[in-house]
Amino acid sequence: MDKPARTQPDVPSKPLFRQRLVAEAVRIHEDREGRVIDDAMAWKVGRETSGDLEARVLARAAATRLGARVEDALQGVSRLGTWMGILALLLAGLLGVGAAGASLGAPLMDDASRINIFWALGSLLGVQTLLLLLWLLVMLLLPRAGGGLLGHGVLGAGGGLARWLSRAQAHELAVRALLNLLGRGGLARWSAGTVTHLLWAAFGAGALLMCIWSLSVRQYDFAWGTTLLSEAHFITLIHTLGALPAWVGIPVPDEELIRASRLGVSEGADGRIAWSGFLLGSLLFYGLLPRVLLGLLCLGLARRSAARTHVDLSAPGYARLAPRLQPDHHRLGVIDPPPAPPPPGHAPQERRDTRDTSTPMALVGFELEHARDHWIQNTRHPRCIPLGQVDDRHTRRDILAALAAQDPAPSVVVVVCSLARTPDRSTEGFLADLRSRTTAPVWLLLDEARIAREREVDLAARYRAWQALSERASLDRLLPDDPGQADHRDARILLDAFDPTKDHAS
Amino acid sequence: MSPLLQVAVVGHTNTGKTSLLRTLSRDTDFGEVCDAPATTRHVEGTEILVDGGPVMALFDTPGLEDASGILDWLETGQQDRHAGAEALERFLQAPEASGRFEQESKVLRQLRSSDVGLYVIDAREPVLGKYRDELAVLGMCARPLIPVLNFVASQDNREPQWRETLANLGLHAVITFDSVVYDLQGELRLHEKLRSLLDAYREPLGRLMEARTREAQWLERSAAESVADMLLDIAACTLLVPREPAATEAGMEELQRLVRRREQDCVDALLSLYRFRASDYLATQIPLEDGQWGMDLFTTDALRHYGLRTSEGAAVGGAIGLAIDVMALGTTLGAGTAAGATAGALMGNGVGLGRRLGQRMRGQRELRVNDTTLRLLALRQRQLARALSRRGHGAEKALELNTPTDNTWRRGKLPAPVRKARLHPRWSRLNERADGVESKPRAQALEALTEQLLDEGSRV
Repeated sequence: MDKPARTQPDVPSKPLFRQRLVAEAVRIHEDREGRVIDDAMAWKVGRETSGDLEARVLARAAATRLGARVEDALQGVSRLGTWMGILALLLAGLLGVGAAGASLGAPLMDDASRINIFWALGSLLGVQTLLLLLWLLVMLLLPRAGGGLLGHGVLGAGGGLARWLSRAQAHELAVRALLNLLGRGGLARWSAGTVTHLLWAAFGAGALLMCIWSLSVRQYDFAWGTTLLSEAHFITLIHTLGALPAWVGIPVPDEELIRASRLGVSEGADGRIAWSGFLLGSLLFYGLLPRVLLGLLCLGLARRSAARTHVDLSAPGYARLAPRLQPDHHRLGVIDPPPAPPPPGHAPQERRDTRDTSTPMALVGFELEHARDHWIQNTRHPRCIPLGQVDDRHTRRDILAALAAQDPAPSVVVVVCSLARTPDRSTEGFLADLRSRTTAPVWLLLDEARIAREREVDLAARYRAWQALSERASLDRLLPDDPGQADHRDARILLDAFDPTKDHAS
Repeated sequence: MSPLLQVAVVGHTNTGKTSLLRTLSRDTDFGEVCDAPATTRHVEGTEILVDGGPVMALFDTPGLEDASGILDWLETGQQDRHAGAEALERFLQAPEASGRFEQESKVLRQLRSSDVGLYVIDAREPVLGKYRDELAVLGMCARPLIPVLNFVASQDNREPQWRETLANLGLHAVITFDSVVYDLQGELRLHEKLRSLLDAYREPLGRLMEARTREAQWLERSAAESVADMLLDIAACTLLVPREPAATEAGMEELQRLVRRREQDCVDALLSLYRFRASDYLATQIPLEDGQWGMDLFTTDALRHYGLRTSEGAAVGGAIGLAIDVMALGTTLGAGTAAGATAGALMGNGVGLGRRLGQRMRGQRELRVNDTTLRLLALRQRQLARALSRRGHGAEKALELNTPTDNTWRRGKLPAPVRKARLHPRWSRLNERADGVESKPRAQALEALTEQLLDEGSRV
């Protein structure tokens, strides 16, 4: 199923993803209409596309007129999406600016130029760090549901807005298709993740810029304080947080400065720079960068899963296309025409009558189901001579020899055949041969209707086939008259037919 | 690219050669099939395609009827005994080959120009001398021959005797494959056997087997999804009608019409999915006739056939059918229609009570399909899907569906996705406002219900 992806690994995912979007849009339309678009040209294109079912479905959807319109609409939709994305990022950035402004402007202290460093950090990083941990936790514990509430919410709202904005049918279908595919499995997770992280990154960038601005043009004194915790805890914490910014050369406060900045202790101008460095470094390393990195990672994964998100071929909307798009056979037609109908052959021969009832009749079993246990083998009536059973070429010869050896010739030769057999030319040949070698009339007795019935053979049709055969072989009589009664346990039907005046019941 | 694998399907007359070909190529219309001698009298070919490309060409041949005659001819006509292939060549040059034995010589020529022959045997037949003669004549073609025992799904088959006889003739690679009762494993075994005999064609045969396996899984899933989709549509279907008896009656008829049509859509989808055509069922058989259910959904017979009891929820009278709004607890409508929908059964949910109250105030009632109908629909469609997956494309008889033996769907609560659909009228394509058809919750419910149906399928 992922054959195209395997054979063309270098092809960028977008065109294929775009094709899938078109196919999904066409499917949604067909689903609403309750019938497939009957565009002969599109069917043809789909059928003639080489590859698996998905390739054919995509080609066919793209070849419909609606598909072309959706394709155009997709460009508009992606433009709209880009603008909405930019707008959302700007909004998030402004929120970040606002938050930073608020936290620097409202230090909650008596003196408006003093900033409680932890209060500022907490208000800018606290919530988003908590949400980041939550995101990681959800991704680890519930990988199928993950992706970030914010991202899902924004995607949903954006989709709703886009649908509200795009009234044209093709646009609406394109948006719907995009939402459907984006909502599928891995793609849903990673695209929502991308949106979540990039929005937070914008928020972080806004906050960082605002802080840089404020710290550049205003003078703040940094301080910290605690009521419950010990000083040592704070020093360790600030050192730990400051390690990363310090590593890239951003000035961070040393222990002395930290002690000196405790509320109520005065500090110098150097301390301001170090504290600003600490604040900005923390915002950069714990607010902005992780979100940017995660956002880019999610974007990469989203692109990868976009390439892997196939349309759901087993969904009724696609499955019904399969028989028309994927022929599974190609008829080659008649290679060798049927033989000409056999010539009428020998004129129907004169019917032989049974006059001489003094000599017994000869019984031959022909290709019977249970030849060895057949009643012919056990017939001990003085008027019946069982000649044996025909099974193959040798027994045919034996029977013909045994018949020739009968002296005087039997009054009638009865061949017992099974209704379970399909009459064939070989049988016909044997019967014709048999008749030509004797002067006695040859009767055909059909037996074993029960077995034929068990095999759900159409008895009447089978009987007619035998009837036709007996006529072609010029046989003198066909028994019984009704295929339903072609089940015998002994030769009584023959004796009755042979000499109807006598009662053979005894 | 190596030439295409050519397979000749040979055998006695009326053993199901054309049926085998139909089943292998998924082509119900190939050739002509009839329980009579010499239905096919010409050689006809078809190619099996995988992803649009041919992997194998199959040739249907007329039945061998007089192989014994050919052996007789060969015996009488020659003094010095030639090797098989030469003797056959001599026979094919002789005037008899285009006269008395024309039908047989077509078969032999086709087999000689193919890579391998599938010798189709009606396994219910006793091992008669003429079949041994056929094998002897076919053996002269010097082509590998794989005996295929057809009709092995039948009770009275003689598989052991046939295997013994064939083993005595040196044919050990025997395959059982019923062209009427389809079995994926049987088909895979057949291709596997071909692959082991014909090393040059390993690759295309491997691809064919892979495609067949994949296709079977896809079919099973698609069929389950079609059924699940129908169930959600019907479960969520809600019809609002004024509270007058006449309007209610008309509404019920309308609802029945909607449900019938939706079920028929599902039947059509399943038939087309498995590449059968509605016209394959022209024979009059219940319950599926001419692609239509011969037994109407809204009859007590249909219920009885599927072992469902009519007494579900509130009293439904003698009727299956439709249930009436929650507020009309037990109120008889007094509008017994011909279809038998008479009384209001209780739809057991109280959600949306406010809305319903509002509708009641405005003098409207809500008509919906009751649980029994949903059970019946589920049973019928699930069974149809199952029967189609086991039906060979060579089958001529109409589909016959028995009462399912398992109790799934018959008892207990309806599956959760169906119950959920009850609360979401917008999920149903049958409703006026169907803007929830593409919603994610519906997609999830569909997925869950599909899984459940597949799970049931694998358990049975």
